[in-house]
Amino acid sequence: MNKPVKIIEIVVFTAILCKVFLTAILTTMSSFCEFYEYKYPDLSERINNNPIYRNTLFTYAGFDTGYGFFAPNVSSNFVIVSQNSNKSYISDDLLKTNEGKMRFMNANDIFFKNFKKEKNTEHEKDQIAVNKIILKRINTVFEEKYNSKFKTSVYLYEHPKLEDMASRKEHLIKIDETP
Amino acid sequence: MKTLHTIFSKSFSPEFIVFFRISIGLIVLIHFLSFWSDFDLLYTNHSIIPLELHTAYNTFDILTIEKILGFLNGYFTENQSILLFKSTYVFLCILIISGFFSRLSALFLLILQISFIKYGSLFFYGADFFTSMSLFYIILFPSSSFFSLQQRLFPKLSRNLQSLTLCKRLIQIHVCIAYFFSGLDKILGFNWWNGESIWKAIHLPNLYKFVSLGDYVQNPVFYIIFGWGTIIIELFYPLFINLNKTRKYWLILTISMHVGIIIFFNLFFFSAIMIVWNLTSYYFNYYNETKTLAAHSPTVSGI
Repeated sequence: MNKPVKIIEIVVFTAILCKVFLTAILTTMSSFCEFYEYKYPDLSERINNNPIYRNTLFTYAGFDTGYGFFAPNVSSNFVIVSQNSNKSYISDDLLKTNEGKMRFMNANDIFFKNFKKEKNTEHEKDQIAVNKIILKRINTVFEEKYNSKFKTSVYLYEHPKLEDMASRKEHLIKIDETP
Repeated sequence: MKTLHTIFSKSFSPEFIVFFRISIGLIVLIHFLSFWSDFDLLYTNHSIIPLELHTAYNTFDILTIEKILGFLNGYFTENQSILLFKSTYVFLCILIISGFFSRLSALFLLILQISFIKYGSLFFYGADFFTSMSLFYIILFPSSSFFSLQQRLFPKLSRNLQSLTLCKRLIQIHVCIAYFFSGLDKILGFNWWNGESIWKAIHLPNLYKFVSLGDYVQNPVFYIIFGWGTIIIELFYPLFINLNKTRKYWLILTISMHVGIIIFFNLFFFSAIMIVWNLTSYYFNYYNETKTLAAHSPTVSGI
């Protein structure tokens, strides 16, 4: 076995594992602080903004993501419903494949931004404006597809809690709609 | 120190790399074909949600699909450019599967995959990250050197200079970190302790399930056990998958969990990649027929 190659391998593999480990810790802390509304530690913020930690190679390698799937909390889903005079459609009607539909529905999570009571930064205000544009855009695509006038609304989907499972009553809470 | 030396001196046969390359190539190919007809509506100028709007939420320093298609549009019509992009993606998957310069093919495929996954970031999910990581490992590992077209046609170019042990250990440690933190994140959320998270997850309207579990099981205890079961499998994965006595059971439990994710959440591609990672890490060289000699050596702990 070629010794210089092995040394390079050890260095590269160690760097990868350090990045994977650090990202896992930081994303765990980030989701924990977000869920329990704690302040995110300054040190984590500094590491996150460090150019060595956030370099393009790691972005390409996919090492910039954590592993807390569905955790610490399973997020609620949002449902976008478009309605003309005859019928209501869920926004995934615009796509053909299950995988395409699922990807498209992932974007609905952006409406969490609408929930935050105080939109502190300009960036957050921009995001709310983008959400409105997206809703309008979906409405337009429905109007083009079915050649009729539509109104599109976004709802928070609320399923009964485990203790109320007998009721099986789902709630849709309206968040926003097209004018 | 002696244990560390044992861990990194054990030799492995290359089957795990061959399996990883072929199965990841196949999954990435099928995954892409599964939304082929919707690709234009998600990631091009015809997108329902214009791609520049995604940047209000996430920005990455990458070569974007917009730039690639913009370049191709200089030579072809818009539809031809999109078709060329999609066909190249499929072609590169086939090169990876066949082992024809699979490391180079994986590099180009990764650039194409990131160009739309991270530019249209509102549409990405777990399977996409693990696809990127898997392609990166195909680049990093000597994936063209064994059971490949390249090895047959250009044997001199396919000589392996790398340590298979280090490759095996890298993916093993990575998968252990991934499961441990996945379990840790879950145990930090109180809704995972009382079954509420599982109950909520199976009722999410944006996931297309094969079986709606909530229609069949309405006992809260079931969901509490299900939640804790998931936490225990993930959190203790690094321990029990590395012990000889429990490895087989933990591997079966983990793969069963992913089969459950396919059935109840329809996250087929995410689970398929995770199953491949598990088999690559802890099935090959442990339970397949061509075990390494070192695995039988009394001086080796069997890790």
